[in-house]
Amino acid sequence: MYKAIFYKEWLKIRWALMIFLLLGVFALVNIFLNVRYGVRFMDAHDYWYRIIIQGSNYAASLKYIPLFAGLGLAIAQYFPEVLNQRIKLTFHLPIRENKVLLMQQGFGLAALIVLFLIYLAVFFIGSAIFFPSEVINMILVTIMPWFLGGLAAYSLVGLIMLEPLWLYRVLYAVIAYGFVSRFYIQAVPMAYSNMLWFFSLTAVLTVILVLFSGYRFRKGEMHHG
Amino acid sequence: MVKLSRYILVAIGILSAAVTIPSLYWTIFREASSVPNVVYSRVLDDFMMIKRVDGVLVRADSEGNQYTRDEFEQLLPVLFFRQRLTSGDMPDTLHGVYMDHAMLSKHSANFTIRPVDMSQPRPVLWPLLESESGRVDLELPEDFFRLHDRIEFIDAATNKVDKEKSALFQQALEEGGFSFPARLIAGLPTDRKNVDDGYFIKDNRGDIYHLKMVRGAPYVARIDIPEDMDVIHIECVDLATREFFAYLFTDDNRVFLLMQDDYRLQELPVEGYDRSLHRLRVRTDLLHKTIGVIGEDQVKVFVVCNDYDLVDTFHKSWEPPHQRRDHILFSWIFPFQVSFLNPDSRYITLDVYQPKGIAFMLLHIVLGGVALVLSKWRQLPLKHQLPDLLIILFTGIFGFIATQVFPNKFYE
Repeated sequence: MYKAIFYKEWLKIRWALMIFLLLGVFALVNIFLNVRYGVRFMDAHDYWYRIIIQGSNYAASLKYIPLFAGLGLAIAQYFPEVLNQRIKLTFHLPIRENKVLLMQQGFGLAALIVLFLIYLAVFFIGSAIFFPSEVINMILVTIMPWFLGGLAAYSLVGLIMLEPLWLYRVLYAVIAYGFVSRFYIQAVPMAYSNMLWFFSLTAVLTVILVLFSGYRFRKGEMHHG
Repeated sequence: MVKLSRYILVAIGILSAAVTIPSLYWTIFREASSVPNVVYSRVLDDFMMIKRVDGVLVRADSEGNQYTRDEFEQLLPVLFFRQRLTSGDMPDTLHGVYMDHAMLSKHSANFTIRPVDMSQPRPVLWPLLESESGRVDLELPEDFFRLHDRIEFIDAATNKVDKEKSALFQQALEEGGFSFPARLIAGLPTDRKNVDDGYFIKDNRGDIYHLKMVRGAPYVARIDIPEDMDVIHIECVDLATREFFAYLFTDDNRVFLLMQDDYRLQELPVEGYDRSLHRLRVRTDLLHKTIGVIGEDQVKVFVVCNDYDLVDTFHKSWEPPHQRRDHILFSWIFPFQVSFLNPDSRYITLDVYQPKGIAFMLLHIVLGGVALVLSKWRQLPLKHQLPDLLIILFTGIFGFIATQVFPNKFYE
């Protein structure tokens, strides 16, 4: 039974996952081709100076890719469920409804985390060719909130899509926007360094939010909300 | 678990509301406050100031006599020397000091440091320029150095450590008694300055060292500072007069100049200065130095002559921000404000601002009452609404919005 549930989730997200894998790797390859160009054809030390002293982030073009990956995966996973209220069928399986929802959410999240780890691996391999550990660490701290924001966005889109009432969907979306945008504040490199714990914690806490909408869905808010 | 998920949502709602709504409030209701720009006139031997009153610039002396722009500038010839020279009414001497354009220009410098300048990420590596290349222009080096357990120069083109150069500088630092790792590195990492003075580095023991590269060789000097002095920030300057290298800020909010000729420390009068609250402005000219400690509700100005004897002081304070109308209205509506962006830091912080007093409690009680009526109307049992009411009582308008957007219906 569990295997079947995971397989169904895999069928739903595999294309989205492939697209974002290709998109992210393509963006990173592009980033390091640009770095290579900068180091080889401009003066290498000028290029370093721009990053280290003037605070330019060579991985800046990666910024919204984790966010879109989170949004894309959540839509791929929950849109088919919401369409014609198919999730009701899932809720008729002989498993506790919360458990099914958490399994779905957990599977999607695990897939997203694997995707992000692949991004980060490519980032590390590329960075290590051109930069010392201090610079890699500086940029890593800078891009980390973008990945955490992708995780939070994934969870919140699940919450919004499973919510049965449109009014509440809009209200959730407003609050979700206000919340997720805090992960993408325009700031100097390493600006988040003292707050990574806070953003990690809040991103983790959002994982179980889907239960709230699932609850409202089961209670049939749609009919007598 | 489902209930917990709701409280997480309510918390996110409160956080989002506490960030956005007060920020919207300030955009609409913020009242402009004007801090006077205080300067010292050697013609009057008194302080003068420019202040914006109801949108109009007012120029006055410390007695409150007002001046036109020309009159004002004529009383401050050293400060406005370019305009006075052009207008043709620049005195040749003042207090026996001969003044010409070259001298005035060379000696005039401004330095400002705000709380935000001390709270920002520092560079992770540093370029060490050649300070006596014999060339007219300074040039950035091909490598950057790190200074943790040892000093290492990393070549940018190859991303490899230059072992030979690193060993040379490592040895020089060890011979100088430097205790690794560095706890603070300060300098001017740019080629757009008059001369290069390398870096001033606080070592692991708290001693300050001067490191530069002279014709490819390391120059290391230990700077004598008092045993109990804890330097927490160094701001280097590039003065045409070559009088001092840097401003040193200590843990107990004292400010020193690090003089160029003998590495002597010269303390500046900055009584009452708090680096986390105040802007420090030092205006240097041919005749004296004017040191301003500028806060939200006060300005203190100290004037010293060229040998740093105190000439005069000025102090003016006005109503603190929390007594202004915009702050009072705020205190009736919002229990607190959360900001991730703080004007006093370039770091993202979780900054919680609380207004003075508890005027907001009135609104909290009203909102609690409204929530109670709403739950009665929805026929929800009262005892299950208690946590929500407590949330509203403590977080007011934010909690009210969050609990209404994510309603509590687990007990229907």
